[in-house]
Amino acid sequence: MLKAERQGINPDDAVANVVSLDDRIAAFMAAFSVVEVESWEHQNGVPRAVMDRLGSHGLLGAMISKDYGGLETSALQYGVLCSEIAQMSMSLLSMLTVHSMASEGIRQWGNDEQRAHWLPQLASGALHGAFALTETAFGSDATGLQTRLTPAREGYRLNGEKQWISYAQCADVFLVFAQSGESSTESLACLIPSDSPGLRIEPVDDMMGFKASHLGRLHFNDCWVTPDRVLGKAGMGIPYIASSVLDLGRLSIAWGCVGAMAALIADSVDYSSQRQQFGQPIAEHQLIQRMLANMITQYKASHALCTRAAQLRDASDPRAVMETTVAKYFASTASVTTANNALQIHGARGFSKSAGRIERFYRDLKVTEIIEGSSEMQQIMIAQNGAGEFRRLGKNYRKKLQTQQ
Amino acid sequence: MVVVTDFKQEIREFLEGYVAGEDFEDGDDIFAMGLVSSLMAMQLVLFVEQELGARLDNDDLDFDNFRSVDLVNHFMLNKMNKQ
Repeated sequence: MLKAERQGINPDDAVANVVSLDDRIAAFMAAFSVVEVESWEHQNGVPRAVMDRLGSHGLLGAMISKDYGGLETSALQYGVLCSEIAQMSMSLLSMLTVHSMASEGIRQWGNDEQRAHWLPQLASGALHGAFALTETAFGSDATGLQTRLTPAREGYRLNGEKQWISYAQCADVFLVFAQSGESSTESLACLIPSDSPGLRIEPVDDMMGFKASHLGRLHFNDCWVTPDRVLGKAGMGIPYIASSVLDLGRLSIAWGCVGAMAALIADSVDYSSQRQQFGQPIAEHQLIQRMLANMITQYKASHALCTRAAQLRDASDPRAVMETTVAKYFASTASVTTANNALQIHGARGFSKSAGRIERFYRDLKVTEIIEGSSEMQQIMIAQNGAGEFRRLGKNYRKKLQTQQ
Repeated sequence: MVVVTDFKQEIREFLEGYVAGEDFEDGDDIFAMGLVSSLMAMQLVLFVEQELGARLDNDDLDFDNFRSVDLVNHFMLNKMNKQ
């Protein structure tokens, strides 16, 4: 039984009386005790009831249009939601992320019929979505896609394997990417319900972090795909649909890192002001202060980058793509450093599961440097695409020099 | 009434902000040449919508419309004629 239910509160009742996103988040969060959140790690993952509750508070439809029953929040509001959810649990953030990515794929690339069919169910949480791109031999290299969608009679047959799929064990529908022609650039995206004949879902339970995120592998063996389950046109799969959906995923993860950092800093400030060594709180020791100063600075820089990325996305500015990449790269790296410092400040206590979330965040945050594009891939993209504004600056300076000589 | 006959300058200025080096012709396939990453497809879509003012639907999102300055320009001129 959830904490709120024990107290005789039905959080769903609260939803009817609240309007703002902040209130919805607060009403959702109030339902869970810290102990319950920690228990998801050691049991069988985030309970379905928790995911359903996220839906009943409207939060699964945050980015979905009001026409389809969503909240139609701005990207900035969505970022704040991700930050708040991450403070509670990175595994739950993962759920919100992959669900939003699947929803975004349909919102942006689906036709009217597909939107009308899927989005209301995803917005309400009646259906849970997930994102299936990665394969054993396919990750950062977009040319290695091996899952195949082959035309057959009046539809397609899907064959192949997807790996490291968050919420594979409990999602109702997967946004799957497959090669659809002879060339690896001919890719398609399709929606595959989890109960489709020919789809086998294999749990993966041996990960270091995100332990409550129902990770799994998808095995497609002549899985039948009707044409109304295909999103967009041939060739759009990776360059358009996966790219745009991953862009949202990066925003989500970046904001999640901001939330996790806030939690780690709060714990560290609290603990260091209470823990006494050499006759004074360790927060009075300069080497501890240096760690706290770096943590706070990195948090604020991450928050600023994420805010700018979200605001540019809200304005449909082409620069949003690059700024989101920068924000994700910086925030994920900063969050790992922050978790390391937080654990160091807490000493052996931080290394123990009994002390709460420090140890969990330490494990969970590492994977933010890998998912939705590794830090190395982000660096390559930033170096390639982000150099433009500085190239123009250099060009103008050279021109000025030439005119003055 | 101003009749727009060419978008090449705007397209080129936008691409030059991202392309490593500026030695590409208007007819060059910037994707095939490896001058831009896969992110550029999305950025070009946003650019065409926000900066050039075109309204795109799914049928417009053909990779071949965005491979070069000439192709984006041709796509835009067709779009303007239809609107």
